[in-house]
Amino acid sequence: MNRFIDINPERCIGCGTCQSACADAHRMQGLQDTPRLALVKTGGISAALACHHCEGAPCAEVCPVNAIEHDGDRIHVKEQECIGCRLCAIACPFGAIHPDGTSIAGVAGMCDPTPSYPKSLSSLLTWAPGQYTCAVKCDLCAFDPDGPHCVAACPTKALTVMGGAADRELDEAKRLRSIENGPVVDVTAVAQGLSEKAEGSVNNG
Amino acid sequence: MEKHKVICPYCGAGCQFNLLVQNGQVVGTEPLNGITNQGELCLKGMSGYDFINDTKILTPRVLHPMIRRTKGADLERVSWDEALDFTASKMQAIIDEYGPNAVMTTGSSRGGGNEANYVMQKFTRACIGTHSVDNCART
Amino acid sequence: MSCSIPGMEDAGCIFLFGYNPADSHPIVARRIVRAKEKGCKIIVADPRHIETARIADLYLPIKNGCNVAFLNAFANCLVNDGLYDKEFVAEHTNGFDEWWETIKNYTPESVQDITGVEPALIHQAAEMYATAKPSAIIGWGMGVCQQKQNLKTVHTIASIACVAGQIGKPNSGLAPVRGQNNVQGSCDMGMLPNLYPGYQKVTDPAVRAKFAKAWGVPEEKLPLEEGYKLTDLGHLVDEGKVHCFYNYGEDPVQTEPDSAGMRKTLSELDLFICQDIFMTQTTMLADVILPATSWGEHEGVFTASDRSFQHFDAAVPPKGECRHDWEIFADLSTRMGYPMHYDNTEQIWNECISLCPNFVGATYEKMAPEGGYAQWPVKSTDVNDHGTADMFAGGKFTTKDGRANLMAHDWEAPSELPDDEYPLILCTVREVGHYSCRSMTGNCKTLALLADEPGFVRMNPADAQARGIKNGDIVSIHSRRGQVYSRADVSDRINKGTVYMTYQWWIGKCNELTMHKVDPVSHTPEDKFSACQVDAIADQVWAEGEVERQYTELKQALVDAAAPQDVEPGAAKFDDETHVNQIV
Repeated sequence: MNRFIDINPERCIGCGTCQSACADAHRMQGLQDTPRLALVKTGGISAALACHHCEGAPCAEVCPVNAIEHDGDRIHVKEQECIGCRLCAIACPFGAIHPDGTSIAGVAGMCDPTPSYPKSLSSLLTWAPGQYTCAVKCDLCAFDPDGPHCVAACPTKALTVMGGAADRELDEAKRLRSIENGPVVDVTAVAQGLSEKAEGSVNNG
Repeated sequence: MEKHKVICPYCGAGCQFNLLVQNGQVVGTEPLNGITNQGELCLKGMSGYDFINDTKILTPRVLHPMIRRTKGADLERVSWDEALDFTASKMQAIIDEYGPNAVMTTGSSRGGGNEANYVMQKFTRACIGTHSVDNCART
Repeated sequence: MSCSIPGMEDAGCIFLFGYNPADSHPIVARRIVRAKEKGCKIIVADPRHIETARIADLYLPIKNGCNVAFLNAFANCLVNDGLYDKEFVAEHTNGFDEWWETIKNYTPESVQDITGVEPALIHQAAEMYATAKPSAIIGWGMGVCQQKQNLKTVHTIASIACVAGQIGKPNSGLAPVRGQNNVQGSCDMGMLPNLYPGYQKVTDPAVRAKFAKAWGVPEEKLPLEEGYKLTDLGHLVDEGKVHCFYNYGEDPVQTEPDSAGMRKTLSELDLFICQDIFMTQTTMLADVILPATSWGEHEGVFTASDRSFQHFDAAVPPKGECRHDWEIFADLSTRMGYPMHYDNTEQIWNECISLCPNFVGATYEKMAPEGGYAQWPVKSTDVNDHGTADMFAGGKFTTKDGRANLMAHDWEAPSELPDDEYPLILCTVREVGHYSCRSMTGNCKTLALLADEPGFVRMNPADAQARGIKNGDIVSIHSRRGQVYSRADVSDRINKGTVYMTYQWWIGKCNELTMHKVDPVSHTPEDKFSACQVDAIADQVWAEGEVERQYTELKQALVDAAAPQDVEPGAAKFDDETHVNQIV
């Protein structure tokens, strides 16, 4: 089954330490260093969002060159085989794919960075001369047996890896709780309430 | 790989961590169990070390003493002896003409450390003879 | 801080006022998250809906510039709602009646138009704070200090803690968390025109006699009058009183308000000495540049915000000809006729602590191991005595009679109010990914990758929409002092009518816009309140290019300024063609 990085927004302080750990870890591996987590902040929520490694991964479905593959419990982008078509980013329901490339600007004798698009534009629509874009997304730091670097780095321990053993523990905890405190959802009561509603009576429960 | 215990040079929380050193270059960090940080770091503590290696991403390190022989002249690299003699004579001339209060010095609230600050204020007070030493706590 | 950072998580209530720990000190924010999980009540009063406001039990969206009025109303509730600690006030404070004479005029209802907060919320906050068990802490930051009435605001906060009896017990009191890593340390070391190391007054003849004896100088050498303050440098140079400025490890052109005025001041000096690790916009103006070793290349002691001394080691050898700061000062002093010699930092430290009664127990030995620290006041050299986590135990204060003097002040409006031409309030804040003038973090690969020029101007969606600005657009911001470009970050966490910028950006540089207006006592500038206008730019590709051009030009200027250091003394003249040193 798949694993993915889950966040507790009650603990997230929006500091971006996960992003910096992600960039550092992947640069050391010679991979794209653009952060594979997006920091999303709304009025009430701060949360880091990364790939869910969906079982029926739409990104893998649409990839025309099979550069995205199931690899055990994760969905893996072969960055060297990616042709930069961005179909996967369009198909992803979580916005978890970040098309990115390495700019050649500043390489001796090449050129200064001359912006050809406003940076406010979606990364799905940007294009820079001489820059080969590829799909960049969370790979659960598969190169490191100690697991995702963002999870270890988060100073408030807001990130956890879901799936595998952690999920089983969670399920068991829920079952235990339901035995001790009664079921979380009283199915009988709900069903009764629905039928009463259907009959037009007032449900005071 | 060598490890050296440091205190973070950024905010006032005072996090402890190791600088990881390979071939004379700082290559990474590793959090320690300090009194405030308990094995955690934020992004600046974790990734804020490579400026030491003079990366020139934003601006270069200064590595040699430089002076302008006259006001408005170009900077010129000189030896430490020349730079310090030049500074000492120029400062002394100002003190002789206008008094010790014509000289103002600062402390550094950043990487220098308490000992460097202590010596700076001692220099300002005992050598120059003024209390006009201040730090950026106001700004 | 009267409490310690670790102790914050055991308080019953944390009241954050003008302080955004998630951006300024994530590792302190972590303590607040943990405190919340342990059942601590969190109160946040801030114009912005900051990260901690999300997890707060009570959030008070105050108006910019209302500090003293708001706090007076809060204090008013303590008394009028019968929440104050009568016993603590009677036993440990002076001047309650006089204090109340001012405070009684500030009911939450009467100042609602200034604070912008529902009176019921202030009553609720005062109750939550005053009744918190076992203790409550008020945390503040630059939202208090960089305002017009900064010192008066601090007086008001301290008086609130005393009147509520939320000070003088473990994990209580005042938590002004210091910005820079060693700003507490530079104050501890007497880098202040009125204090010797260890907070000993320069005007006290007995203190002078002690230092004169220890330093081997005649007493007359050490004046009994205070020196000049850094924020007065501009007019002191104008008036011909200061001719030489020795700037050590700071970048005032970037960090002080009104950059143009600062550049003018520095250029008018007879002698401007800069001792730094980087070529900065300040260093490049200097007549003498002295290259110092960086953090990582030397050892020493820093003081954290909560008065903890901690020792750091050197990790790598010095680059180039860089020398330790203390070696440079001692060498220069020797050449100027006052010989100073130290073999290492421990010798310096031992001299320092021998002269400062509150630091005596802070030995290198105590600070050496992992986790080692010494929190002042620390009087015993016993390695197991780490000093004092909580100050003012039992309500005993450091005044002559051991009692706190309550102080109250009337609210004054900020200096520069918005008008038709400049309808927005500009407030300067911090961003988490970079630090101070950014010369250090801006040279770090990952940190530069996560956030780069022209920085951000954060604004409310309504203000953005009214100007035709989209999230991520480059915009032009101007004030009576200057004009800069920055990138709009449009968010409903930002209150309407105010925009927020950070002083670390060199292109989107808010200090070109801020004004030099200082508090008469503390001389801290009013960075948190000035008037500005923001305009949309139609051609965004042009704007991106313009920002890139300005940035490239500035970086090239810094490289050019540093270039002479590559020519050895006496070597042939620098050849532009072959030694072009580019950074992009």
